[in-house]
Amino acid sequence: MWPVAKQTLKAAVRYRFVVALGLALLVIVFGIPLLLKSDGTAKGTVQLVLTYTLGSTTALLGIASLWMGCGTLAREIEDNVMQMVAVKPVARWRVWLGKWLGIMLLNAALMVPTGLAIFFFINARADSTELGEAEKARLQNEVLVSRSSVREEEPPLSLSRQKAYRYSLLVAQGKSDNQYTEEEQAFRMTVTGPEHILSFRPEYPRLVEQAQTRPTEDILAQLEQLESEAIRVSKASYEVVLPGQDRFWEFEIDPDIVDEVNRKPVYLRFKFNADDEYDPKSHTLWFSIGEGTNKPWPPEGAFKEMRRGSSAFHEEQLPIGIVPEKGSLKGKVRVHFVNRNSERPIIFLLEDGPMILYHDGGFGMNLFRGLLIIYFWLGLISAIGLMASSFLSFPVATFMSLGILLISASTGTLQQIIDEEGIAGINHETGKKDQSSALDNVAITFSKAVLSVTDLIWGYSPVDNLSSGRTIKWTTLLSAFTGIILIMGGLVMAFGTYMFQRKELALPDPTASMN
Amino acid sequence: MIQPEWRLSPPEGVHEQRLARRRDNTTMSSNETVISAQGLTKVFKDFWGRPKARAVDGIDFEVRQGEVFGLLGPNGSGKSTIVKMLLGLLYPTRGRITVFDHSPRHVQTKARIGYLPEESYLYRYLNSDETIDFFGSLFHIESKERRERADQLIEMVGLGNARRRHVGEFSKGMQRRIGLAQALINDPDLVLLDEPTSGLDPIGCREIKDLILTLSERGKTVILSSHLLADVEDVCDRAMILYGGRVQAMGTMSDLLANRDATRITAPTLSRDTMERVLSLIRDDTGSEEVRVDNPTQNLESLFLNIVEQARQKEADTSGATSGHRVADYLRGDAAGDRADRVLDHLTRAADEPTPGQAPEVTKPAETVDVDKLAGLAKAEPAPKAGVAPKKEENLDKANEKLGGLLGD
Repeated sequence: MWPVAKQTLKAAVRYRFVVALGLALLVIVFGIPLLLKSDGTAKGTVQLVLTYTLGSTTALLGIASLWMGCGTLAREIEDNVMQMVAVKPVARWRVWLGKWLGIMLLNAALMVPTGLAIFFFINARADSTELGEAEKARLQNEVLVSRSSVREEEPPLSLSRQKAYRYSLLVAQGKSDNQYTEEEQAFRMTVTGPEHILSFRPEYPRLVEQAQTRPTEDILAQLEQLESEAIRVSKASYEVVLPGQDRFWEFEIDPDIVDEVNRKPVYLRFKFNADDEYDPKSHTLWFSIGEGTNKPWPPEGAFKEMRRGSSAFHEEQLPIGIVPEKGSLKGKVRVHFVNRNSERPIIFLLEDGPMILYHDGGFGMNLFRGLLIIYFWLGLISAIGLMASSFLSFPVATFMSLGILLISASTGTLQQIIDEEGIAGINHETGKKDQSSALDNVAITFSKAVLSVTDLIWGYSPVDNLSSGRTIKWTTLLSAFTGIILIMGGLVMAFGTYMFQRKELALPDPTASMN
Repeated sequence: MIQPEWRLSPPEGVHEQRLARRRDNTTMSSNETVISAQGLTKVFKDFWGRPKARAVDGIDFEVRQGEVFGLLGPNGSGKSTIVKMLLGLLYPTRGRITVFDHSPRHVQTKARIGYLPEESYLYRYLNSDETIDFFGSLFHIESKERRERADQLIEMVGLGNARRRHVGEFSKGMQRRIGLAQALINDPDLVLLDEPTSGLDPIGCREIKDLILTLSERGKTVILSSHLLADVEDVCDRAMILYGGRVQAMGTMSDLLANRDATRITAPTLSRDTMERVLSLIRDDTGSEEVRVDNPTQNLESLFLNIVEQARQKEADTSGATSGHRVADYLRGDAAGDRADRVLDHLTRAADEPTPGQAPEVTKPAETVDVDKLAGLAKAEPAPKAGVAPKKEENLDKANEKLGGLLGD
């Protein structure tokens, strides 16, 4: 396996591929920062530089990995060189794996100096004498740092038809709280938000019964619509803060590390919408943080009034020592928000939900972990290229690999198909979907299947995390390795090696069939 | 300077002597079956799985250890397809094929096989050293051993002056040579040579043929696929003649080539009296007047090689391929313990140690004796059996005695 890996690496060097890539990476690391225009702050500049250099490096090495993955195997098969390797006592799966290792060695050889260059370049900028002490401190605390985040526990938004039906019947009995039996009380405690909302729809139990006795497409569609509405309403109840209402969040930090956390600044990171996504504006917000501590924010204990733009992330630095260190609230940071706007609701989407950021390490190690996730991506991309070239010619393999990557990266489109219940989309006049077709069902099934797979691959944001100084945890890294390399990479490798094993390497016509 | 024990281009006459020994049917072939094919069929199909060409059609054959087996046929007759099925590069559509009692796709079996393809299928950006080292590493040969073998092989194939040049810069002949070297890095028990002399000059052709003989004498099995009749005739024990993917003829070379209606005797130049006595004896014995006497001629290959041998005395430095190099030690095996090599050494040493001051002769016809035919003519003992070297020497002695008696010396 190693001789094949070394051979693959040698080919890249001899064909000057490494030189070309190295030059391109030099341009990315040192050239791109010269072209970027930031908001003028040191923090903004460094964030932009990190985002673009890491993003461009990922894109360039991704394309190179795909190209090499397709080329190294397909071309050797087409040039018949692979015949000379295949007649030697090396199992074909080892040859395949050797090729993959070769590409990964090349990627490592390119990524290590690139990562080091980015690290030293960014640090040099942060140490520049042109920056004031305040700006330097802000950079060190908010970007060139590794900060862990704590979110509120996800609210229960699942729905069981059987449970919702039973609960609806129970509510329909019109009992008061003290009339329920012990068993009924216990059952009521397990009901989720959407199931509770459905109990207010008197037609729901009837529809469930009809769906069991005489299921028709219309009844099933009505049921599904009711249920999806219940989920949406329940979710919205956690997200929307209407004028005059307030909202509490409680963030739990591991009590064992509270002392450590309180030594550095803690940040509240949030993003909100104000029903003006297409034309974001600034709005007034009122926060009060640190209930149960003697260092609340704002210090006077009232609500902090601030104007912030909608549809963008914001970070508020909180005072050192804001995390309660004693008592029942130890480690719990409480955030209280009030919407004192007269008309406009403020929406905190669950997926963007507020979080508390606290310092837990240095930027260097975080960069290392982020680069490793990018490295895992490159591993999967090169495996896809090798898999395609195990049974296809070079151009077709490249086309197929690109297609796979494009589909897997189109998560937004696929999610939209699921959200809008098909490819026809929602009728904006009625706000509902007109009529589901078989094609819609196929599209939804396909999108769900692809998304469940792509989440394993693209469900990480190393570049975003690094540019916002958020920690990429070791557990995240392990999860990325498992999902990207072991599961997805393993599947791709298994299929690729199987096809390569079946391949007749000496066919006179590459388009001929295998028998 | 160390005198090489054996060169790829042996001194004049040795090649002919070796060929003569083969014709004596004294190869080391044993009864162990190395390759077995039954009903072997290969149909090439198009993208949609429709049959396009039947390259090999129901072929049965076996090759035993130590044999040099020729696959002979015109272009497109199925030779290369058979070779590639033997290597596991193509899969039979029907029939069964085993190599060393295993499927050709059995990984460990491949450690015993060396393959020279019909074209140069090598990495163009590697130099000779790297090429041999890479293919050697695939056999899990240790680094030190690999380097030693690479040195010997590169010298053997005459690329000592070109070991730092990339294979992509090589001429076709040089590429064949480096291809041959990589095929032998593992000291294979079975060597498959697909058109091995294609693109080689006559010196290279002769060297390849001598190498095949050397390998065979060490008990290696060689499959030679060629459409060049002379190649097959010179070195093969048995051959299979293919046409249209089917076997048209198969047997030992002597069986295939023998003209049972005539006999040839080759001897040193005879006096007129001796000649008359011999002719008279033959006429009396056969009762036929159709007896022809002429001087044997050497073939064009021998003439060419002798001329080149002389020219090489003035050889200048070259970055291209050279010739006449020593066979790699590990390919020669244990000379002390190997009967075939002892005979080989005997022959080569005699030829390699010229009398001091003796000028090399340009042309000297080889002295060969067809023992089979001679024995048949004398109505004496049956032809010797294969694989017994001492018996072979006895046969040679007996043959010489008979010839002496026949000629009245």
